[in-house]
Amino acid sequence: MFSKSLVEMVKGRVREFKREPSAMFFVVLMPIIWMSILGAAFSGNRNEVFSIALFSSDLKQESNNSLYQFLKDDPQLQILIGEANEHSSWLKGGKVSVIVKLDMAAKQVEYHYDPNNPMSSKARMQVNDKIQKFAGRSEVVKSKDDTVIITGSRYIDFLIPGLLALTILTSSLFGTGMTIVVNRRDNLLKQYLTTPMNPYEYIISHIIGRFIILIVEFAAIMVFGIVVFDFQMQGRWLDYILISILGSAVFAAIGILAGARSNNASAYNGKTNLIALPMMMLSGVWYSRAGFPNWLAQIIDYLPLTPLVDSLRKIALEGVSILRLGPEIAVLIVYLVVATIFAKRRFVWF
Amino acid sequence: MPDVIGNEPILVANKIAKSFGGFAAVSEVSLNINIGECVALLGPNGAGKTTTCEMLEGLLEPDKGNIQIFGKEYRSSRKQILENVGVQLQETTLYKKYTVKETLQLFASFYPQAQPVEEVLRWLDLSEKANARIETLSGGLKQRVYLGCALIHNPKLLFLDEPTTGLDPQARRNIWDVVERLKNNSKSVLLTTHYMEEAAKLADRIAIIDQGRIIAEGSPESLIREYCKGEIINISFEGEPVKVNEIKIKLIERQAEFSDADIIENSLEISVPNAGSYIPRLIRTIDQLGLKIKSLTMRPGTLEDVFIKLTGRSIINV
Repeated sequence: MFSKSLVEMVKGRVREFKREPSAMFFVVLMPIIWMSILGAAFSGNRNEVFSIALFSSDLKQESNNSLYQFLKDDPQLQILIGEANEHSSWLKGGKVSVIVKLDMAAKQVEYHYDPNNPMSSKARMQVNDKIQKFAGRSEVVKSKDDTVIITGSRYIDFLIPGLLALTILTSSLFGTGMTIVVNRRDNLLKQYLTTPMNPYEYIISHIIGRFIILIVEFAAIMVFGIVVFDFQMQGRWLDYILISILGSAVFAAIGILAGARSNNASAYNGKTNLIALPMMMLSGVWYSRAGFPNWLAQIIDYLPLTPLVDSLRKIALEGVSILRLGPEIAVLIVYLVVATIFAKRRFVWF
Repeated sequence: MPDVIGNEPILVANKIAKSFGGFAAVSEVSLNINIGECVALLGPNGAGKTTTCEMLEGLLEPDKGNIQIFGKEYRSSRKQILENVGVQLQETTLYKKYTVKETLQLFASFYPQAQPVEEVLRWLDLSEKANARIETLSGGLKQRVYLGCALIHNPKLLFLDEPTTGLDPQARRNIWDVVERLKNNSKSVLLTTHYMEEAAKLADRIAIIDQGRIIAEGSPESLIREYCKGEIINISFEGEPVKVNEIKIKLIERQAEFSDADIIENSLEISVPNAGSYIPRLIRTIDQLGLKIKSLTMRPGTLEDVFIKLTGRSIINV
C-alpha cells in the first residue's frame, strides 16, 4: 500500500521526533508536569480559605477579643492584624479579600471589599456569617446537608482531556509546519523535486508521522492520568481516540497552511504562537469558560481548540457518544477542509 | 556505456530564457552536453548559473526555448528523466539528526533502481562514517554525503551546482577527485562554479556565463589560447606617480604586437603567444621610452584572464 519512499520518510519523521529532545519534552513531559503540579495543587477535598484583615481600635477589649478567638478557630479564615493604614494596600495588593473594622462594644462592624471580585464578596459573606452567629443569630429555617462526590468532578478530571487537546494542538501545529519550513529553508524540498519521488508523499509522511506521535502523546497523558490520578473514562475509548485523531489532523493541516510558503523559522514560530496563544488561554483547557461574557464565549466556541476540548471532555466526563457531538465535529471538519484547501493552494516547494 | 566522450548529446538546451519580474536572469542560453563529458558553467555570482541549472534540472520552466535530456522533455517524461539524473543543489542542508547511512537510504528509496548504500559509502570512502550523524561531520564530509545522495541511483547525468563552495582546499581536492572518477565512469557532468581552477581542472568544455548569457565556450586551453594568446607578461614601472595609461599608449605606438595590453592595479598585463620571445623586444622598447622597470613577470594565461578580457571585470570581485 505504501511506497518504499513513503515508508522511509515516515521512518524519518519518527526519527526526527525521537532525536529531538525538545519535541519529546513538549509532547510527553510537559503535559505530565502540568498534570502533576495542578493535580497535586487542586486535589483532595479542600475548602476555600479567605484572607481577611481585622482592625479594631481595641482588640484587648473583651468582646472584641472573644470574637477574634472565635474567628481564628474557623479553618476557612486566615486573619491578619495590622495598622489601619496598611489595610488598604493589602486589599489593593490582593493580600486580603476583605477588611473588617470591628467594634463589638458598639455592636457594629464595617466591611471594606471589592464587590466586583467574587473572592472578595465570598469572604465578606463568610466573615459576616460567622460574626452574626457569634452575636447570637438563630437560624429561622432548619437546613440539612446531603453531599455526594460525583466521579469525574475533580479538577484533575476536568484538566486531563483539556491537556490532551492542548498537547495535540502544540505538537501538531508547531511540529508539522516547523519541519516543513526548516526543510524549505535548507533547500531539501527543492532537492526532493529533483528526484522521481512524488512530492506529495512528503506531505503525507508528515500526516502519518503526526498520527504516530499522537499515539505517544495520547498514551503518555492517559496512562499517567489513570495510574497516578485514577482517571476514569465515562464514555467510549474509541470515540475519544477518533476525536483525538480528528483534532490532530485539524492542527496538522493548520500547521501546514501556516508553513506553506515561509522559509523563516522564527517568523513561523511567531505566526503559530499568534494562532495558538488565544486558544491556549480561552478555549477552556485550564478552567471552565462559563464565566466569560456571552459575546466572547460565542467567538471562542468557533476557535478550533474549543470543540476539541469540549468533545474530549464530554466523552470522558459525561460519557457522551461521538454521535451526539455533531456541532463540535462539524466545526473541526470545517477547519480541516478549509485549511487543507488553502494549504494546497498556497504551498510552494522553494 | 562508452569509455570516451561521445558526440551524442545527452542534454540539449536550445535558447532557454527565464525572467523574474521583468529581470532577465537568463537570456537565450544554448548548451549541449555529450555522453561522458564534463561541462563547466563558469561565471561570477549572479551571472545566471543557478537559474540555468534549475531550468535544466526541471525545477524551473523556461519562459522560452526548450530542453531535451536523453531525447525527452520534462513536460511529458519528467519521471523517466529524473530517474537518470543526479542533482546536487547549492547550499542544501541535509537532516542533521540522520546518520550518513540513513540519509543515503532515504534518497535510495526515491529511485526504482538504487545502488546498495554500502557500495556508495565505500565508493565515496565514507564507510567508517556510516553511523555518524550528519551534524557531527565536517563541511567536506557533508558535501561527500550529499554527493552520495545525487549518485545513489547511478545516474547518467549529474548536475553539480557549486559543489566546493565554502570548502577548505583539502576537502575541495577530495571532491575533485570524486568528480574525476565519475568522468572516468563515463558520467556526463554539468558543473557550475565560480572557481577558475576548478573549471580548468575538471571540465572538458567551459561555457563562460555573464549577465544571463554565454559569452564564450570551448575547452579551457582553447579559451586561453583564443582570448589570452597563451601567456601573460606583467610589468610595472619605477617612479611616482606612474601614468600606466600613457605608457600603454606609447608602447603600442612603437610596437603594435603589444596592443593586447590591460592595466591591472598600476601595472601592465600584456597577452602574447610566447612570452620568452617577446620579452627582449619589450625591454628594448621600454628602454627607448626612457622608462625604468620595477618588476617583470611572466605566467601562463588563466580562465580569470579570459574572463577579464571578455568582460573587463574580475570574476572574483563581481
